[in-house]
Amino acid sequence: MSRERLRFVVIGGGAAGISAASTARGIDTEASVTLFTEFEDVAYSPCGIPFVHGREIPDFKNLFLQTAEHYEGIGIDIRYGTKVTAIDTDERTVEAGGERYPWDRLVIATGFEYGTPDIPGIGLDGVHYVKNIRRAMEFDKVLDRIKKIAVLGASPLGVEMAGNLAQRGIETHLVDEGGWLMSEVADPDIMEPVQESLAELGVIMHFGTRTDGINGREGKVRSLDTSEGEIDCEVVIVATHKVPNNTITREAGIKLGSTGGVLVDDHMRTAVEGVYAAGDCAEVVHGVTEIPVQGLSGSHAYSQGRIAGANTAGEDRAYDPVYVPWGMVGGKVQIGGVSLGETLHRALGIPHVVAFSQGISRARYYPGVSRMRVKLIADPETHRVLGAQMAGGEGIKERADFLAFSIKRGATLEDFAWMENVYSPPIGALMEPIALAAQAGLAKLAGGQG
Amino acid sequence: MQEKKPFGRWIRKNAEKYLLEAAADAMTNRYPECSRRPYREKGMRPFFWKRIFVPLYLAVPWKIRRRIILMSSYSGADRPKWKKLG
Repeated sequence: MSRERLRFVVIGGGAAGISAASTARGIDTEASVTLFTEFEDVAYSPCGIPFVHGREIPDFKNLFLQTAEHYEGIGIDIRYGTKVTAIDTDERTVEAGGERYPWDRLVIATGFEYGTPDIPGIGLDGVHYVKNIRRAMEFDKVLDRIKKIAVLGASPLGVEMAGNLAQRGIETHLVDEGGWLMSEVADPDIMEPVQESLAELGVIMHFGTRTDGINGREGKVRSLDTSEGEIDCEVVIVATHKVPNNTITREAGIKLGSTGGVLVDDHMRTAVEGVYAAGDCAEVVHGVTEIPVQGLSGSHAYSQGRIAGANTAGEDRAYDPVYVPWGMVGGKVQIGGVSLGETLHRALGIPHVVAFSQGISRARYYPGVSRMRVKLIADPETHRVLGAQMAGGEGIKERADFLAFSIKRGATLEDFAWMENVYSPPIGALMEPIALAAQAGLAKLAGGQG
Repeated sequence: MQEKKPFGRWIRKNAEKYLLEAAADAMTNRYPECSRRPYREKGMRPFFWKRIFVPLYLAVPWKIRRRIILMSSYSGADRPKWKKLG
Protein backbone atom coordinates (compact mmCIF):
# COMPACT_ATOMS: atom_id res chain seq x y z
CA MET A 1 0.00 0.00 0.00
CA SER A 2 1.49 3.36 -0.98
CA ARG A 3 1.64 6.12 1.58
CA GLU A 4 -0.01 9.49 1.13
CA ARG A 5 1.79 11.82 -1.28
CA LEU A 6 3.32 14.69 0.69
CA ARG A 7 3.07 18.29 -0.46
CA PHE A 8 6.23 20.38 0.02
CA VAL A 9 6.06 24.12 -0.45
CA VAL A 10 9.15 26.33 -0.56
CA ILE A 11 8.96 30.13 -0.36
CA GLY A 12 11.94 31.75 -2.07
CA GLY A 13 14.08 30.87 -5.07
CA GLY A 14 17.52 31.87 -3.80
CA ALA A 15 20.31 29.47 -2.79
CA ALA A 16 18.44 28.16 0.29
CA GLY A 17 15.07 27.75 -1.43
CA ILE A 18 16.35 26.06 -4.56
CA SER A 19 18.64 23.68 -2.63
CA ALA A 20 15.79 22.80 -0.22
CA ALA A 21 13.44 22.03 -3.10
CA SER A 22 16.04 20.02 -5.05
CA THR A 23 17.14 18.02 -1.99
CA ALA A 24 13.58 17.24 -0.88
CA ARG A 25 12.68 16.21 -4.41
CA GLY A 26 15.79 14.01 -4.67
CA ILE A 27 14.89 12.12 -1.49
CA ASP A 28 11.12 11.87 -1.80
CA THR A 29 10.46 11.36 -5.48
CA GLU A 30 6.74 10.84 -4.87
CA ALA A 31 6.19 14.18 -3.16
CA SER A 32 4.89 17.28 -4.92
CA VAL A 33 7.33 20.16 -4.62
CA THR A 34 6.15 23.70 -5.34
CA LEU A 35 8.48 26.67 -5.10
CA PHE A 36 7.18 30.25 -5.09
CA THR A 37 9.39 33.14 -6.10
CA GLU A 38 8.35 36.73 -6.54
CA PHE A 39 11.09 37.16 -9.15
CA GLU A 40 11.41 36.12 -12.79
CA ASP A 41 14.36 33.78 -12.28
CA VAL A 42 15.89 31.25 -9.92
CA ALA A 43 19.26 29.49 -9.74
CA TYR A 44 21.66 32.25 -10.61
CA SER A 45 24.56 33.72 -8.72
CA PRO A 46 23.70 37.22 -7.47
CA CYS A 47 27.19 37.39 -5.96
CA GLY A 48 28.54 37.54 -9.53
CA ILE A 49 26.63 40.70 -10.46
CA PRO A 50 29.39 43.20 -9.46
CA PHE A 51 31.85 41.36 -11.69
CA VAL A 52 29.62 41.58 -14.74
CA HIS A 53 29.29 45.32 -14.11
CA GLY A 54 33.10 45.44 -13.93
CA ARG A 55 33.35 43.44 -17.20
CA GLU A 56 35.34 40.67 -15.52
CA ILE A 57 32.46 38.39 -16.56
CA PRO A 58 31.28 39.07 -20.12
CA ASP A 59 27.55 38.43 -19.76
CA PHE A 60 24.83 38.08 -17.14
CA LYS A 61 23.88 34.79 -18.80
CA ASN A 62 27.08 33.30 -17.34
CA LEU A 63 25.61 33.71 -13.84
CA PHE A 64 22.77 31.26 -14.43
CA LEU A 65 23.42 27.82 -13.00
CA GLN A 66 20.35 25.95 -14.20
CA THR A 67 17.46 26.44 -16.59
CA ALA A 68 13.73 26.52 -15.86
CA GLU A 69 13.45 23.31 -17.92
CA HIS A 70 15.90 21.55 -15.61
CA TYR A 71 13.65 22.07 -12.60
CA GLU A 72 10.58 21.15 -14.58
CA GLY A 73 12.39 17.98 -15.63
CA ILE A 74 13.15 16.93 -12.07
CA GLY A 75 9.59 17.60 -10.98
CA ILE A 76 9.84 20.92 -9.16
CA ASP A 77 6.90 23.19 -9.91
CA ILE A 78 8.33 26.72 -9.84
CA ARG A 79 5.83 29.55 -9.74
CA TYR A 80 7.76 32.53 -11.09
CA GLY A 81 6.67 36.09 -10.35
CA THR A 82 4.37 34.81 -7.63
CA LYS A 83 4.68 36.48 -4.27
CA VAL A 84 3.50 34.62 -1.19
CA THR A 85 1.52 37.14 0.83
CA ALA A 86 0.50 35.03 3.83
CA ILE A 87 1.27 31.81 5.67
CA ASP A 88 -1.48 30.10 7.64
CA THR A 89 0.06 27.63 10.09
CA ASP A 90 -3.34 26.40 11.37
CA GLU A 91 -4.83 25.65 7.98
CA ARG A 92 -1.36 24.76 6.64
CA THR A 93 -1.65 26.88 3.52
CA VAL A 94 0.17 29.73 1.85
CA GLU A 95 -1.58 32.48 -0.04
CA ALA A 96 -0.20 33.66 -3.37
CA GLY A 97 -1.86 35.58 -6.18
CA GLY A 98 -5.20 35.42 -4.38
CA GLU A 99 -5.16 31.62 -4.15
CA ARG A 100 -4.44 29.28 -1.28
CA TYR A 101 -2.01 26.40 -1.65
CA PRO A 102 -1.91 23.60 0.95
CA TRP A 103 1.29 22.12 2.31
CA ASP A 104 2.37 19.29 4.56
CA ARG A 105 5.90 20.66 4.96
CA LEU A 106 6.89 24.27 4.41
CA VAL A 107 10.37 25.73 3.94
CA ILE A 108 10.70 29.48 4.41
CA ALA A 109 13.67 30.80 2.42
CA THR A 110 12.63 34.41 1.95
CA GLY A 111 16.16 35.78 2.09
CA PHE A 112 17.05 39.38 2.86
CA GLU A 113 16.24 42.96 1.99
CA TYR A 114 18.62 45.89 2.10
CA GLY A 115 17.97 48.17 5.03
CA THR A 116 16.70 51.37 3.39
CA PRO A 117 18.61 54.38 4.73
CA ASP A 118 16.25 56.85 6.40
CA ILE A 119 17.42 59.87 4.41
CA PRO A 120 15.75 62.39 2.12
CA GLY A 121 15.91 61.51 -1.56
CA ILE A 122 16.13 57.74 -1.11
CA GLY A 123 13.17 57.32 -3.48
CA LEU A 124 14.78 59.24 -6.36
CA ASP A 125 15.29 57.68 -9.76
CA GLY A 126 18.90 56.53 -9.83
CA VAL A 127 19.00 54.92 -6.39
CA HIS A 128 19.92 51.30 -7.05
CA TYR A 129 20.03 48.10 -4.98
CA VAL A 130 22.13 45.16 -6.15
CA LYS A 131 20.07 42.02 -5.77
CA ASN A 132 17.93 41.02 -8.74
CA ILE A 133 19.59 39.97 -11.98
CA ARG A 134 16.95 41.53 -14.29
CA ARG A 135 17.34 44.89 -12.54
CA ALA A 136 21.11 44.46 -12.82
CA MET A 137 20.81 43.91 -16.59
CA GLU A 138 18.85 47.15 -16.93
CA PHE A 139 21.24 48.95 -14.59
CA ASP A 140 24.24 47.83 -16.63
CA LYS A 141 22.91 49.87 -19.56
CA VAL A 142 22.60 52.89 -17.28
CA LEU A 143 26.26 52.45 -16.36
CA ASP A 144 27.16 52.96 -20.03
CA ARG A 145 25.69 56.47 -19.85
CA ILE A 146 26.95 57.83 -16.54
CA LYS A 147 30.23 59.29 -15.40
CA LYS A 148 29.90 59.59 -11.61
CA ILE A 149 28.52 57.19 -9.05
CA ALA A 150 28.35 57.00 -5.25
CA VAL A 151 28.28 53.74 -3.31
CA LEU A 152 26.72 54.00 0.15
CA GLY A 153 28.40 51.62 2.56
CA ALA A 154 31.89 50.11 2.48
CA SER A 155 30.32 46.68 3.11
CA PRO A 156 31.61 43.61 1.23
CA LEU A 157 29.16 44.39 -1.59
CA GLY A 158 30.12 48.08 -1.50
CA VAL A 159 33.80 47.21 -1.81
CA GLU A 160 33.16 44.81 -4.71
CA MET A 161 30.92 47.27 -6.52
CA ALA A 162 33.31 50.20 -6.03
CA GLY A 163 36.28 48.26 -7.41
CA ASN A 164 34.36 47.01 -10.42
CA LEU A 165 32.77 50.35 -11.27
CA ALA A 166 36.10 52.15 -11.06
CA GLN A 167 37.61 49.47 -13.26
CA ARG A 168 34.89 50.26 -15.78
CA GLY A 169 36.09 53.83 -15.86
CA ILE A 170 33.32 55.47 -13.81
CA GLU A 171 34.30 58.05 -11.18
CA THR A 172 33.35 56.09 -8.06
CA HIS A 173 32.88 57.50 -4.55
CA LEU A 174 32.65 55.05 -1.66
CA VAL A 175 31.00 56.67 1.37
CA ASP A 176 30.99 55.13 4.84
CA GLU A 177 30.68 56.28 8.45
CA GLY A 178 33.37 53.83 9.54
CA GLY A 179 37.08 54.49 9.70
CA TRP A 180 38.14 51.86 7.15
CA LEU A 181 36.73 49.39 4.63
CA MET A 182 34.28 46.79 5.97
CA SER A 183 34.91 48.14 9.47
CA GLU A 184 32.09 46.08 10.99
CA VAL A 185 33.64 42.75 10.04
CA ALA A 186 37.28 43.22 9.10
CA ASP A 187 40.33 44.78 10.74
CA PRO A 188 42.07 47.92 9.41
CA ASP A 189 45.50 46.32 9.01
CA ILE A 190 43.95 43.51 6.94
CA MET A 191 41.98 45.94 4.79
CA GLU A 192 44.92 48.28 4.17
CA PRO A 193 46.11 46.50 0.97
CA VAL A 194 42.53 46.54 -0.37
CA GLN A 195 42.27 50.24 0.35
CA GLU A 196 45.52 50.84 -1.55
CA SER A 197 44.32 48.70 -4.44
CA LEU A 198 40.97 50.52 -4.68
CA ALA A 199 42.79 53.86 -4.61
CA GLU A 200 45.00 52.67 -7.47
CA LEU A 201 41.87 51.77 -9.44
CA GLY A 202 40.62 55.30 -8.86
CA VAL A 203 38.01 54.79 -6.13
CA ILE A 204 37.59 57.92 -4.02
CA MET A 205 36.99 56.78 -0.44
CA HIS A 206 35.16 58.95 2.08
CA PHE A 207 35.60 57.40 5.53
CA GLY A 208 34.09 58.83 8.70
CA THR A 209 31.41 60.36 6.50
CA ARG A 210 27.68 60.31 7.21
CA THR A 211 25.21 60.53 4.33
CA ASP A 212 22.59 63.14 5.14
CA GLY A 213 20.52 62.93 1.96
CA ILE A 214 20.39 62.54 -1.79
CA ASN A 215 19.75 65.63 -3.87
CA GLY A 216 17.74 65.39 -7.05
CA ARG A 217 16.82 67.30 -10.17
CA GLU A 218 13.61 66.46 -12.01
CA GLY A 219 13.25 63.33 -9.89
CA LYS A 220 16.73 62.03 -10.67
CA VAL A 221 19.83 61.76 -8.50
CA ARG A 222 22.13 64.77 -8.81
CA SER A 223 24.40 64.61 -5.75
CA LEU A 224 24.92 63.25 -2.28
CA ASP A 225 24.77 65.40 0.84
CA THR A 226 27.29 64.26 3.43
CA SER A 227 28.78 65.43 6.71
CA GLU A 228 31.94 66.24 4.70
CA GLY A 229 30.21 68.15 1.91
CA GLU A 230 28.41 67.48 -1.35
CA ILE A 231 29.47 64.72 -3.75
CA ASP A 232 28.33 64.96 -7.38
CA CYS A 233 26.89 61.72 -8.71
CA GLU A 234 24.25 60.52 -11.16
CA VAL A 235 23.54 57.21 -9.47
CA VAL A 236 23.63 56.00 -5.86
CA ILE A 237 24.13 52.34 -5.02
CA VAL A 238 22.84 51.30 -1.61
CA ALA A 239 25.17 48.67 -0.15
CA THR A 240 24.25 49.01 3.50
CA HIS A 241 22.97 46.41 5.96
CA LYS A 242 21.08 43.34 4.86
CA VAL A 243 18.05 42.62 7.00
CA PRO A 244 16.10 39.35 7.06
CA ASN A 245 12.96 39.43 4.94
CA ASN A 246 10.50 38.07 7.47
CA THR A 247 7.32 40.12 7.14
CA ILE A 248 4.96 37.24 6.28
CA THR A 249 6.74 34.92 8.71
CA ARG A 250 6.26 37.34 11.58
CA GLU A 251 2.63 37.93 10.59
CA ALA A 252 2.12 34.16 10.66
CA GLY A 253 3.24 34.12 14.30
CA ILE A 254 6.40 32.13 13.66
CA LYS A 255 8.99 33.11 16.25
CA LEU A 256 11.88 35.35 15.30
CA GLY A 257 15.12 35.70 17.26
CA SER A 258 17.21 38.63 18.47
CA THR A 259 18.76 39.14 15.03
CA GLY A 260 15.33 39.36 13.38
CA GLY A 261 15.97 35.97 11.74
CA VAL A 262 13.63 33.01 12.16
CA LEU A 263 14.44 30.93 15.26
CA VAL A 264 15.44 27.46 14.09
CA ASP A 265 17.09 24.46 15.69
CA ASP A 266 19.97 22.53 14.17
CA HIS A 267 17.51 20.71 11.87
CA MET A 268 16.30 24.08 10.53
CA ARG A 269 12.96 23.47 12.25
CA THR A 270 11.00 26.47 13.43
CA ALA A 271 8.80 26.35 16.52
CA VAL A 272 5.86 25.31 14.29
CA GLU A 273 5.72 21.63 13.40
CA GLY A 274 6.33 20.98 9.73
CA VAL A 275 7.73 24.47 9.10
CA TYR A 276 11.43 24.95 8.36
CA ALA A 277 13.52 28.04 7.58
CA ALA A 278 16.91 28.39 5.89
CA GLY A 279 19.28 30.99 4.50
CA ASP A 280 19.41 34.72 5.14
CA CYS A 281 15.96 34.80 6.76
CA ALA A 282 16.99 32.40 9.55
CA GLU A 283 19.37 32.80 12.48
CA VAL A 284 21.90 30.11 13.32
CA VAL A 285 24.37 29.61 16.16
CA HIS A 286 27.96 30.83 16.02
CA GLY A 287 30.45 28.10 16.89
CA VAL A 288 32.87 30.16 19.00
CA THR A 289 30.48 32.43 20.90
CA GLU A 290 27.22 30.42 20.70
CA ILE A 291 25.53 33.76 19.95
CA PRO A 292 22.88 33.65 17.19
CA VAL A 293 23.96 35.17 13.88
CA GLN A 294 22.21 35.83 10.59
CA GLY A 295 23.01 36.95 7.06
CA LEU A 296 25.98 34.79 6.10
CA SER A 297 27.22 33.73 2.67
CA GLY A 298 25.52 32.00 -0.25
CA SER A 299 27.31 28.77 0.66
CA HIS A 300 25.75 28.88 4.14
CA ALA A 301 22.31 29.46 2.64
CA TYR A 302 22.83 26.58 0.21
CA SER A 303 23.89 24.17 2.98
CA GLN A 304 21.03 25.21 5.25
CA GLY A 305 18.61 24.68 2.38
CA ARG A 306 19.96 21.18 1.84
CA ILE A 307 19.49 20.37 5.53
CA ALA A 308 15.96 21.78 5.56
CA GLY A 309 15.09 19.94 2.33
CA ALA A 310 16.45 16.62 3.60
CA ASN A 311 14.55 16.91 6.88
CA THR A 312 11.28 17.87 5.23
CA ALA A 313 11.63 14.66 3.20
CA GLY A 314 12.02 12.56 6.33
CA GLU A 315 15.78 12.42 6.88
CA ASP A 316 17.47 13.33 10.16
CA ARG A 317 20.23 15.79 9.32
CA ALA A 318 21.75 18.39 11.62
CA TYR A 319 23.52 21.63 10.72
CA ASP A 320 26.55 22.44 12.85
CA PRO A 321 27.12 25.82 14.50
CA VAL A 322 28.93 28.08 12.05
CA TYR A 323 32.56 29.26 12.04
CA VAL A 324 31.93 31.44 9.01
CA PRO A 325 34.85 31.09 6.64
CA TRP A 326 34.67 34.01 4.21
CA GLY A 327 36.68 35.39 1.36
CA MET A 328 36.39 37.93 -1.42
CA VAL A 329 38.33 40.14 -3.78
CA GLY A 330 38.57 43.84 -3.01
CA GLY A 331 40.24 45.79 -5.80
CA LYS A 332 42.94 43.34 -6.88
CA VAL A 333 43.52 41.87 -3.42
CA GLN A 334 42.11 38.71 -1.90
CA ILE A 335 40.90 38.93 1.70
CA GLY A 336 39.26 36.42 3.93
CA GLY A 337 38.99 34.96 7.35
CA VAL A 338 37.17 32.77 9.81
CA SER A 339 34.88 33.57 12.70
CA LEU A 340 35.55 36.96 14.29
CA GLY A 341 38.47 39.33 13.73
CA GLU A 342 40.30 41.50 16.24
CA THR A 343 37.71 44.29 16.06
CA LEU A 344 34.81 42.02 16.93
CA HIS A 345 36.75 40.25 19.68
CA ARG A 346 37.35 43.68 21.19
CA ALA A 347 33.72 44.68 20.74
CA LEU A 348 32.44 41.57 22.49
CA GLY A 349 35.20 41.78 25.09
CA ILE A 350 36.42 38.23 24.45
CA PRO A 351 39.89 37.70 26.00
CA HIS A 352 42.31 37.23 23.12
CA VAL A 353 45.85 37.51 21.87
CA VAL A 354 46.63 38.69 18.34
CA ALA A 355 49.25 36.76 16.36
CA PHE A 356 50.41 38.37 13.13
CA SER A 357 52.80 37.57 10.33
CA GLN A 358 53.66 38.65 6.83
CA GLY A 359 54.54 35.74 4.60
CA ILE A 360 54.69 34.97 0.92
CA SER A 361 52.45 32.89 -1.33
CA ARG A 362 55.13 31.06 -3.34
CA ALA A 363 58.91 30.70 -3.30
CA ARG A 364 60.33 34.21 -3.04
CA TYR A 365 62.07 33.89 -6.41
CA TYR A 366 59.08 32.49 -8.29
CA PRO A 367 57.21 34.82 -10.71
CA GLY A 368 53.84 35.88 -9.37
CA VAL A 369 54.83 35.62 -5.69
CA SER A 370 52.80 37.95 -3.49
CA ARG A 371 52.86 39.07 0.11
CA MET A 372 50.32 37.66 2.51
CA ARG A 373 49.17 39.03 5.86
CA VAL A 374 47.89 36.49 8.35
CA LYS A 375 46.35 37.37 11.67
CA LEU A 376 45.29 34.69 14.12
CA ILE A 377 43.23 35.50 17.20
CA ALA A 378 43.66 33.03 20.05
CA ASP A 379 42.55 32.40 23.61
CA PRO A 380 45.49 33.52 25.79
CA GLU A 381 44.89 30.72 28.32
CA THR A 382 44.19 27.67 26.19
CA HIS A 383 45.95 28.98 23.03
CA ARG A 384 42.96 27.72 21.09
CA VAL A 385 42.58 29.72 17.88
CA LEU A 386 39.27 31.59 17.83
CA GLY A 387 39.42 33.45 14.54
CA ALA A 388 41.61 34.60 11.67
CA GLN A 389 41.86 37.26 8.98
CA MET A 390 44.13 37.36 5.94
CA ALA A 391 44.98 39.45 2.91
CA GLY A 392 47.13 38.64 -0.10
CA GLY A 393 47.42 38.07 -3.79
CA GLU A 394 46.43 34.40 -3.84
CA GLY A 395 45.60 31.37 -1.70
CA ILE A 396 43.32 33.16 0.77
CA LYS A 397 40.15 31.15 0.16
CA GLU A 398 41.90 27.80 0.63
CA ARG A 399 43.48 28.98 3.87
CA ALA A 400 40.15 30.29 5.17
CA ASP A 401 38.52 26.91 4.50
CA PHE A 402 41.42 25.07 6.16
CA LEU A 403 41.39 27.38 9.18
CA ALA A 404 37.62 27.04 9.60
CA PHE A 405 37.91 23.26 9.54
CA SER A 406 40.78 23.31 12.05
CA ILE A 407 39.28 25.90 14.40
CA LYS A 408 36.04 23.94 14.50
CA ARG A 409 38.07 21.00 15.76
CA GLY A 410 39.82 23.00 18.46
CA ALA A 411 43.23 23.67 16.86
CA THR A 412 45.67 25.69 18.97
CA LEU A 413 48.54 28.04 18.19
CA GLU A 414 50.89 25.11 18.89
CA ASP A 415 49.09 22.98 16.28
CA PHE A 416 49.50 25.66 13.63
CA ALA A 417 53.06 26.60 14.69
CA TRP A 418 54.21 23.02 14.10
CA MET A 419 51.93 22.17 11.19
CA GLU A 420 53.17 20.38 8.09
CA ASN A 421 52.82 22.34 4.87
CA VAL A 422 53.23 21.99 1.14
CA TYR A 423 56.43 23.44 -0.25
CA SER A 424 56.60 23.76 -4.01
CA PRO A 425 58.08 26.94 -5.49
CA PRO A 426 55.25 27.72 -7.97
CA ILE A 427 52.45 27.21 -5.42
CA GLY A 428 53.76 27.37 -1.86
CA ALA A 429 56.56 28.94 0.15
CA LEU A 430 58.90 27.02 2.42
CA MET A 431 57.44 28.73 5.45
CA GLU A 432 53.66 28.70 5.64
CA PRO A 433 52.32 32.16 6.63
CA ILE A 434 49.76 30.60 9.02
CA ALA A 435 52.57 28.77 10.83
CA LEU A 436 54.61 31.98 11.01
CA ALA A 437 51.66 33.82 12.58
CA ALA A 438 51.15 31.05 15.14
CA GLN A 439 54.86 31.10 16.01
CA ALA A 440 54.68 34.88 16.48
CA GLY A 441 51.66 34.42 18.75
CA LEU A 442 53.44 31.86 20.91
CA ALA A 443 56.50 34.10 21.15
CA LYS A 444 54.25 36.96 22.21
CA LEU A 445 52.62 34.84 24.89
CA ALA A 446 56.01 33.56 26.10
CA GLY A 447 57.14 37.17 26.37
CA GLY A 448 54.16 37.94 28.58
CA GLN A 449 52.42 40.12 26.00
CA GLY A 450 49.21 38.14 25.94
CA MET B 1 3.65 52.34 11.20
CA GLN B 2 6.93 51.39 12.80
CA GLU B 3 7.20 47.80 13.97
CA LYS B 4 7.49 47.34 17.72
CA LYS B 5 10.69 45.42 18.31
CA PRO B 6 10.99 42.88 21.11
CA PHE B 7 13.34 43.83 23.96
CA GLY B 8 16.01 41.27 22.97
CA ARG B 9 16.23 42.67 19.45
CA TRP B 10 16.27 46.26 20.68
CA ILE B 11 19.05 45.67 23.19
CA ARG B 12 21.09 43.63 20.73
CA LYS B 13 20.86 46.31 18.05
CA ASN B 14 21.99 49.09 20.37
CA ALA B 15 24.60 47.02 22.20
CA GLU B 16 26.10 45.90 18.87
CA LYS B 17 26.24 49.45 17.55
CA TYR B 18 27.94 51.02 20.54
CA LEU B 19 30.25 48.12 21.42
CA LEU B 20 31.38 48.07 17.81
CA GLU B 21 31.92 51.83 17.86
CA ALA B 22 34.03 51.57 21.03
CA ALA B 23 36.07 48.75 19.50
CA ALA B 24 36.47 50.69 16.24
CA ASP B 25 37.74 53.72 18.16
CA ALA B 26 40.29 51.53 19.91
CA MET B 27 41.32 49.99 16.59
CA THR B 28 41.71 53.45 15.04
CA ASN B 29 44.14 54.30 17.85
CA ARG B 30 45.99 51.01 17.43
CA TYR B 31 46.25 51.24 13.63
CA PRO B 32 46.30 54.99 12.89
CA GLU B 33 48.27 54.48 9.65
CA CYS B 34 45.46 52.55 7.98
CA SER B 35 42.27 54.07 9.38
CA ARG B 36 40.45 57.35 9.75
CA ARG B 37 38.42 58.65 12.67
CA PRO B 38 34.89 57.24 12.20
CA TYR B 39 31.77 59.40 12.20
CA ARG B 40 30.12 59.54 15.62
CA GLU B 41 26.71 60.97 16.49
CA LYS B 42 26.44 63.14 19.59
CA GLY B 43 23.73 63.57 22.20
CA MET B 44 22.21 61.91 25.27
CA ARG B 45 21.48 58.54 23.69
CA PRO B 46 25.04 57.83 22.60
CA PHE B 47 26.23 59.25 25.94
CA PHE B 48 24.31 56.58 27.86
CA TRP B 49 25.40 53.70 25.68
CA LYS B 50 29.02 54.86 25.34
CA ARG B 51 29.74 56.13 28.82
CA ILE B 52 27.59 53.81 30.91
CA PHE B 53 26.64 50.65 29.00
CA VAL B 54 29.96 49.91 27.27
CA PRO B 55 32.20 50.26 30.38
CA LEU B 56 29.75 48.24 32.48
CA TYR B 57 29.52 45.55 29.82
CA LEU B 58 33.28 45.26 29.49
CA ALA B 59 33.77 45.15 33.28
CA VAL B 60 31.86 41.86 33.52
CA PRO B 61 33.98 38.72 32.87
CA TRP B 62 33.38 37.23 29.40
CA LYS B 63 31.98 33.91 30.65
CA ILE B 64 29.25 35.68 32.63
CA ARG B 65 28.71 38.23 29.89
CA ARG B 66 28.20 35.51 27.31
CA ARG B 67 25.50 33.93 29.48
CA ILE B 68 23.78 37.30 29.76
CA ILE B 69 23.93 37.73 25.98
CA LEU B 70 22.44 34.29 25.44
CA MET B 71 19.70 34.97 28.03
CA SER B 72 18.78 38.22 26.29
CA SER B 73 18.91 36.51 22.87
CA TYR B 74 16.32 33.88 23.76
CA SER B 75 13.33 34.23 26.01
CA GLY B 76 13.66 31.14 28.21
CA ALA B 77 11.97 28.15 26.63
CA ASP B 78 12.41 29.58 23.12
CA ARG B 79 16.04 28.56 22.85
CA PRO B 80 16.22 25.97 20.07
CA LYS B 81 18.42 22.92 20.41
CA TRP B 82 21.81 23.09 18.70
CA LYS B 83 24.76 20.77 18.86
CA LYS B 84 27.48 22.00 21.21
CA LEU B 85 30.92 21.79 19.66
CA GLY B 86 34.30 21.71 21.39
